[in-house]
Amino acid sequence: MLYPTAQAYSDIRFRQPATVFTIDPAAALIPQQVAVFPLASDQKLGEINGPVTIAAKWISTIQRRIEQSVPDVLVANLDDGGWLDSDIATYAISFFNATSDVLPISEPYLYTASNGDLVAEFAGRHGKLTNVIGKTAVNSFAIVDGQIVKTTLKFPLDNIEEARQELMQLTSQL
Amino acid sequence: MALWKPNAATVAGSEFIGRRLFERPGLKGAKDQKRPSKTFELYHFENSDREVSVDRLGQTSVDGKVKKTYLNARGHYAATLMHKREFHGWAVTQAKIVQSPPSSYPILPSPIAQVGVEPLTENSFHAHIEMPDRLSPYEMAVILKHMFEKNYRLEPCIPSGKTEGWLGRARRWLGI
Repeated sequence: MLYPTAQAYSDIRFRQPATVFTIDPAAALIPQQVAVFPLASDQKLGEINGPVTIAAKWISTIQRRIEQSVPDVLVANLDDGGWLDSDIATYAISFFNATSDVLPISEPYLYTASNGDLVAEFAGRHGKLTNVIGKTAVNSFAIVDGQIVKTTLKFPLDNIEEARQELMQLTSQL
Repeated sequence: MALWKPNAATVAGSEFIGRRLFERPGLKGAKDQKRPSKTFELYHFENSDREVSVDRLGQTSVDGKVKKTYLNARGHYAATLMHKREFHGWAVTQAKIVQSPPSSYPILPSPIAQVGVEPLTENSFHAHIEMPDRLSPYEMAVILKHMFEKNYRLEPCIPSGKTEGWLGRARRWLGI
């Protein structure tokens, strides 16, 4: 019976590849677009842990209306009225993006309060939901059985889930 | 027939009260939205202090004479000098809707005396709804808006050019 010897083992050699493959770095970095408000659809399926929020149909329309109501300070005549403070607009858009799926289905009617806060009114089956978005908070009001029900969410909305729960409770009563 | 003289001590539940409506431009970027029918807006019911001003429009309905010869001119005057906006008319409801439970907000007569030489600063048909301390101005505005929309009624003003003819002015001057 033949057994391999140490000499035989030492004869085994790993060849070096004739050609060495290397990956060249890209000549220039491709600029990345920063998504300001990532959508649920931006997530990969494997990364989704729970139910996915589906934004309300009206979200893009409302976002456009809000954005177009912020004046270009160089061009706009601010005495006209009907303009929206840029901070309030930013807060309003982030609020609607975070909560549109728990707000009523119908498109809100937008206007400003006397001090420039944004008012968004939703019509529900049994009542109205009035959201007043200011620089520090969103106040949401509903009248249920003749009594006013109020929720205040302060900016920044740190606990989105809690905010959504509170709004959901309010909306479910309408 | 003489003009109705409202009770100086109380506002009866049967009386019709009106909140003045002044024009306000809509959001610049939302010109394509349609205002829901039979609604008012929150700012119509906002007040800077804890008394929400109203006009007493009539004893058991909107009194055309009170409106035409007295309150209409005052609405236009307030629009020009105080609000710098056009006067549209009144959001109207019956006093008992505001005074009755569950809300039960008191309405108190509060006639306004003439300031200086301008007679239109005087308003003997003025009253105010008392805002409870527990409510914020926004809450009060939401509640009143809801009450006035419940039985929606908009009493339009008479355009300022037609407010008072020579007869009206003469009547006002004579105090009849």
